[in-house]
Amino acid sequence: MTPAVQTEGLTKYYGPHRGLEGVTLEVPTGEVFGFLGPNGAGKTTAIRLMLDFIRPTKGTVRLLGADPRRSGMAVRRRVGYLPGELRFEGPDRVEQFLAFLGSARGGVPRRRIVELADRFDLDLTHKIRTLSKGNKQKVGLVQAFMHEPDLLVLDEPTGGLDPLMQQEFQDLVRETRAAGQTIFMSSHVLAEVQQAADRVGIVRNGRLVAVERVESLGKRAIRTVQVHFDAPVPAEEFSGLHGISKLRIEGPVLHCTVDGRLDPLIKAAARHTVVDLISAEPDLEETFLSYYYEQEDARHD
Amino acid sequence: MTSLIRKSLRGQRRVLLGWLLGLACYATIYSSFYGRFDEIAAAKFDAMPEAMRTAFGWSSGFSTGAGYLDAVIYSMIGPLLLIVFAIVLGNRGIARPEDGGQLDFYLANPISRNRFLTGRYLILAGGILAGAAVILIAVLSFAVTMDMGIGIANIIAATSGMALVALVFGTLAFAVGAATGRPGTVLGTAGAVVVAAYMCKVLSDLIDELSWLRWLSPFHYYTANQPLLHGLHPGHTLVLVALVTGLLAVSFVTFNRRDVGV
Repeated sequence: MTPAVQTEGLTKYYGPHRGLEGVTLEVPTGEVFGFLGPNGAGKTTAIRLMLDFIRPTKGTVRLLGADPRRSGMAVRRRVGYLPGELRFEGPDRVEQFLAFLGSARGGVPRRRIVELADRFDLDLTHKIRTLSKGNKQKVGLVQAFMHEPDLLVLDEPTGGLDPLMQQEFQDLVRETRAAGQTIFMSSHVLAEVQQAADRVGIVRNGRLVAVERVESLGKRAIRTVQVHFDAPVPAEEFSGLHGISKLRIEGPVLHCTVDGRLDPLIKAAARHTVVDLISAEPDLEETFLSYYYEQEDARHD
Repeated sequence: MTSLIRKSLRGQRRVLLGWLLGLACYATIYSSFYGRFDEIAAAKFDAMPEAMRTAFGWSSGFSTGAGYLDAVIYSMIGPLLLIVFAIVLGNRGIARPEDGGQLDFYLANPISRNRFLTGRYLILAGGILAGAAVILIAVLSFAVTMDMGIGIANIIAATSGMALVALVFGTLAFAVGAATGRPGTVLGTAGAVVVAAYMCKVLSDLIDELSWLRWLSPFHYYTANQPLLHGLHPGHTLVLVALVTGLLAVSFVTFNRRDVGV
């Protein structure tokens, strides 16, 4: 089956400044793909290339099997897009704005618009200009989903939403995925991607540094551990242990991160009197950082 | 297309209404003063130095209806007002919304860039047409009731010529916006070209050695034939139409090629 998104060596320079460098990526139909990276990493550049707002310096991008430049009309009819920064022209009311977009996309039943607006608790009669950031975001989400597109391209979808609405968004993503639609969403919030995505791509400084399934990231199970002893312990006993890094001992408290099994640490700690042991949930951010460090280390070695 | 135009119009409504109202007031007030212009005042104007009259574009004196309308509306203030209006609209076509990051919601739809440009340009063209129509109605109503002695056809011709000059500069603003997406560049370029074009016309009228400069000025192709007296010159009109067409072509070519919203 044709992948929903396919890029090859996708590169974009803004003058001398690098936006994106050699990104090769494939998102199969029906997948939820999280595009993760810090601000300025190139996430929005990649998305704007997909929608043919900007043109690649090198490389290619295909959406739903077609070139977004040559077959722009046909492609965009099947795409729902949420911009990272929502700017609306004119004094439109929410429903006027959505009606315009609906007609531009060949007609969207009003029932569908009302249903989505109700879900997000969005009042259709308000002027968009007067809405808060979060409510504008809801307008953006409703318009992206309302025509039931085959592919959703969402730039920072939960920005400005309160936790309740973020949950509503996650539910909507799950339903959309169940309906066979594909979602490509960028984010710098790990939690939202972790919850919603099948796979995650990590982008940094314009390069795609890793693509992983979310479950396998979980299996790497990097966790932070604190062990409280009844007396100070010597660091040498712990520093060489398998899977242990970022070791720090402050008096009777040992801090470290553990990659994989806890057993070596537990065995070593058992030689002293353990008062307390705290192991924090595997943290995706730590996992990602370890990815980064490994990549960097591999390059420097 | 109609929904795109309707949507865009909602964004321009206030600007359009404000300007149309202003143009209507201006044309009405100045046309209506014709009755109060007694012969002495007219004679005083006629006694002004030739060079000064030329600089203000008052070529045929104040004592006739045509001379009066030419002086207060058609030679300078009218075209300049309409040109400023056209540049405002031209700037709002692409550059201003692009600078405000507002184009995403248009271009992410199955609307081609050509179609989008066409819709936005129609608002500019329609706005100028409406502006000219408002002036025409005001002038015509006074020209007829006060018996200014000018043919209706010539008033229509002069107003059309004025609108065409405004369309040239409005299209220039639109084209610079389509090519760059920067309102500052649009206003700077359009303003500089208007001033340069007007100066070319004035200098060519004042200084014989510089008379060739007039060929560079769109104003010349509008005023040379004295439209209030003789109607529009077909060749000159064609030059203005060609300018508009050329600038429009530049808009389409450049906007299709470039990155939007960068």
